[in-house]
Parts: sequence; structure tokens; C-alpha cells
Amino acid sequence: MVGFAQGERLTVVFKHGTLGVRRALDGIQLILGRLGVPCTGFELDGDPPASLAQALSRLEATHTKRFRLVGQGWKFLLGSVGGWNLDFLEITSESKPESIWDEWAAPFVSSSDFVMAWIANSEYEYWQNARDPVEYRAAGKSYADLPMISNGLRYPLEQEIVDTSRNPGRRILRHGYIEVVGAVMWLGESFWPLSGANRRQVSDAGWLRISIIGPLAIRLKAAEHCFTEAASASGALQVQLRSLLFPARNVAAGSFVRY
Amino acid sequence: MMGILVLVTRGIDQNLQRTGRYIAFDEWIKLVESDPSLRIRTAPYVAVNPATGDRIATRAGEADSELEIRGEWVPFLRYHEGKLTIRFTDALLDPANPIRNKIAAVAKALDALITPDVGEELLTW
Repeated sequence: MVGFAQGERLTVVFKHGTLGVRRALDGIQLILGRLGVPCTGFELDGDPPASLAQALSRLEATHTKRFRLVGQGWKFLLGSVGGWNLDFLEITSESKPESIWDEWAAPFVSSSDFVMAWIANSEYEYWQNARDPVEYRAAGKSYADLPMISNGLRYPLEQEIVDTSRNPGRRILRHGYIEVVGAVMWLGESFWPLSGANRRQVSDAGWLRISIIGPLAIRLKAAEHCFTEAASASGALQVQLRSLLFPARNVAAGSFVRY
Repeated sequence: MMGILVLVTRGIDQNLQRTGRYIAFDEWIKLVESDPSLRIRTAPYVAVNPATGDRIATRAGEADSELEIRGEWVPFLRYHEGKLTIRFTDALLDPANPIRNKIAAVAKALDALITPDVGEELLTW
């Protein structure tokens, strides 16, 4: 994994077609301003550094609906997945920002278009979802003990890939949302009918700390820090949370998220 | 030497360094509308699956263009995120090819450069 391997990431999911570049950048500039971070020196898709205002101007002038912005110790990735009916914004910090994720989530979770958000340890989430052996070889990481499956493609494209379908930290694209768990999550009004989760059961789960965020969203906290282990009690907690939030799902359908 | 696409772009300079410059959507539309040999394509693209014979239709992009050659409209440059693209074919190797010459004219009009999508060289058409 290149860069930001030790950082944390907030991923925000919106209904498809509702989280455009302006809305995303307005939220980003608002929070960077509050944190005292300059809105300049950001590389847009690898181009020379520019201000966020210049980036917005360019994105709008070119009718671009996605971006990858890197600068000031932050990485922002906006995407729109029409086939899965969702938009997403990843906000990744190079460092471990600890308690500021609530501030980052605030401009987004109050919207009626908001679906869900969660915080993840970037490295953990990456390797929980890395399926191509090339990724492991490039990082000098052994995959000899990991379960393997066919990628399902015909010859000559067929190859063995890492089977991540039982990983507690797996992400799976679903229609309108992403099946995933985080130590801290925000769930919007539209999350419930999409996931099939029972809001009351979630609210009543004594092992979660639930708080109401405005009229539309809840925040749940399952652990003090981001998940970083798939084994032991942490792994069991992730499995338990997944069962609660996505009760009707199994791993056979859907699509693993590869941005 | 050649990639799959040919790009008309302001995103690199003569030294192949990235500039951060782009072709604005409105700029491209204005150029197409001002040139009678160009128009925005509205019809879908249709291809035939050689194995099954099925016809596959894909919608044209919001600013794909067509070029008129001897009374026939043929697919031309497509607008995508500040660049213009067209699929490379061997016919573009011919200096007399009308599509190649029009690509060169468009690039000149937009003060842009032509490059294969691998971005390792400039095409001096």
C-alpha cells in the first residue's frame, strides 16, 4: 500500500447522484478551515499542487464527477458508482487524528441523502480486502497461509486470488450501501431499509454506545479504537456487528470494493 | 509506440511534464458548434458480439463528437474530464487521413497537444 498506510480513514456513503464535487469540497474546505489547515497545495489526480478552489473550478469546468486530492497530510477520494447506486467520499489522514472524525462527519451526516459512514484503520482495511497476489508480492507480504480461490475468469485470465470473503474487515458493495463494519459508524435514515437491519435492535444492543445525531442519523461506537485485528475478541466483535447491521446478507452476492 | 487511445490535451507540455491545464467542457462545445464539419453525437454506438451476433448499444457521452467526411458522419473525438480522446486505428498512421488531420486542427485550435494515452511522446501531426 502506497502512502497513508498508518493513518485512519472516514468513508461517507451517499445516495447516487447526490454527493457531487461541490458538496464534497464544500464540506472538506469547511472542516480544513476549522482545523486551521490551508486549503492550498493539493494535487488533483497527480497534477501540480493547486488550491481547493482551483480544483473545484477545474472539476466543474470539465464536468468531472470524481476526484483524488492529496495534500497537507490528507487524501480525499470522491467516487460515484452508478451500477451500485451510491456515491462515496473517502477522507484519509496521514496521521492518526483520533477524535476529530466526528467533526469530519458532521457536514455530511445531517443530510437526508446520507446513507452511512465509518472509520477504519487504512492498513487493516486495505489488507482485509486485498485479493490480488501481486499486491502482496509488491509489499513483500506473504500470502502463503491465506485461503485462495479462483477469480472465476476464463482462460487465459483465470488465476488464484486471496479469498477475503470470510474476513471480518471485508467491504462488499451492495445496492445503495457498503456492507462493512467500523469501530465507529454513522447510519442515516435510508440505511435501515437498504440493509434490512432492525433499528430498535441496534439501538437496544447493550454492547454498543448509541447516540442520536440530529433527526436522521445515529452514531454507534463498538470499540474505543479502529479495528486492526481479524482474530481474537476484536474479530468476534466485528462479526457480531456485521450480523446485527446486515442480518439478511451473505457473501455470495455483491461485489468486493476495489476503488 | 502507440497506445489504445489518442489524446488531445493541455495536461502536458512539450517536455511531457504535467501542467494541470485542461480543456473546459464549454470550450469544446463552442468549438464543435462553430465548425460545420463537426457535431455532437446523440445516437448510441452499436457493436456486434462476434461470438453471438448480438447487437450491443452503448449511449454516447455527453460531448462525444462526429466528423463529416464526404457526406458521412463518423465518430470523432470524445470529451472526458478536460481531455479529448479517440480510439487509435492504423488508419491514423497515414498523414493524409482526414480524421488525423482534423484531430491536428482541433489540437491547434485549442492550443493543445496530441499524445498516445501512454503519454510517453508527442504526436506531431
